[in-house]
Amino acid sequence: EKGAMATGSGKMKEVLTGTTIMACTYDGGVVLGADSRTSSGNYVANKVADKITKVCDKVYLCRSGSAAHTQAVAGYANLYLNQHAIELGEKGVCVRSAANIVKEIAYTNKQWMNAGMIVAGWDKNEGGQVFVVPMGGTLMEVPFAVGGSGSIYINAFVDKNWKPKMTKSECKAFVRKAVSLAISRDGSSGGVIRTVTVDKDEQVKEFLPGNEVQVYHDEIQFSQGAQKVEFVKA
Amino acid sequence: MMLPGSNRRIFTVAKHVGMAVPGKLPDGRQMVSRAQQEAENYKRFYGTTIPTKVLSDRLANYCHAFSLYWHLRPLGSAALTASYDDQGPHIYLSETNGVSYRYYGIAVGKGRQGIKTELERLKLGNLSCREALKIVCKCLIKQRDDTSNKKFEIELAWISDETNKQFVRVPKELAKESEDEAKKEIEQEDEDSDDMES
Repeated sequence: EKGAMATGSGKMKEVLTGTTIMACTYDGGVVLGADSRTSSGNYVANKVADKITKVCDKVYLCRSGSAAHTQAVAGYANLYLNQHAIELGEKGVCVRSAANIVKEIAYTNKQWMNAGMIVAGWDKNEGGQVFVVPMGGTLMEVPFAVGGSGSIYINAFVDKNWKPKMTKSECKAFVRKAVSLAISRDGSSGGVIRTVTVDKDEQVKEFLPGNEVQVYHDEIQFSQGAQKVEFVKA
Repeated sequence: MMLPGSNRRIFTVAKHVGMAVPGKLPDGRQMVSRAQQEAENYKRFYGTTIPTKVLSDRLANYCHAFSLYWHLRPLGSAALTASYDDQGPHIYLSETNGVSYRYYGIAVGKGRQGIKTELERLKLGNLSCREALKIVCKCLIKQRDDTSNKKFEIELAWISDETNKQFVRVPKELAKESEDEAKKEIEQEDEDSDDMES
């Protein structure tokens, strides 16, 4: 008998990043956020996954859906963008180009793909931008975006609480709060909260360990960690 | 016998890019067609308008390829590109041997040497588009003076903030006005030089 990866039906399920991912703009840059759970059915294949992938300098991709598909897309996007950067020379790759390439791959292969992605980054001409490429291969520029299975639980929260021109720390705290809310409701999201902050001067990858992720209501509190929040103010 | 307006040598490659082709017109048209495809493909794949440097480099590489194979002859034209992208206005010349350089003022074709000398005298940084129009007309008319008295037509196009960063032909009245002004100035200079001689 192989091992504990079989589900009730006896067949192995494809590895999915049933997920919470998000990205939003603030005054001068973007913050990307994601949880870190990769599930294969009920089995958590990776509890510290990194779903925010760099595709080129100052541009990152949040991945949700099939882990294999999104990793392949990120790989191709990285390849094409590296070649593009060589041709452009001094002038750097713009976020819109990166998003367009991801969209072309997603749209051309829409029959076979199971991938919802968010492309976000910073470039010199347009500053911080967020593009969402949901399943099917649409491309939309938005001030903020959420994706993955956990996103449904925080759509309203994010719609209500995102403000234009936030500061960097406000935005980071906002992203962490939103992802923690999704984690608390979505079984396919969990683990740590990873964030990437991109602006003119820096690209910082950070993570919030599991015991510091905010818990709400019925959840069991880690013995040392963030204070349990009993009532979330709207 | 030709209708005015036929024998065009200036073409639009993309909204923000235009091209003039000297020499063999069919070869020039081939280059324009290639440039139009490159611009369109770039937009389709990268989602942004093609930067001028990329376009001219690609065009130059295309020209160069014709010099690599025994069964092909090099293109008998060049591509004088004018554009306005997010880095500002550019003029590039992609030659048939495969080089592509950026210029602030350039001439190409039969009378290029004389015009290049004229352009070098100018303070290009301080000229407005309107002044440049007249200067361009002057250079073109002067350069033809020495050859036969055949009628000729000047084709003008430009791109600037005024034209909303789009490559368009200079409006007929303005073109005629500049041409007439240029002719007047040339006559004036001829008179002055005649006076000086006597």
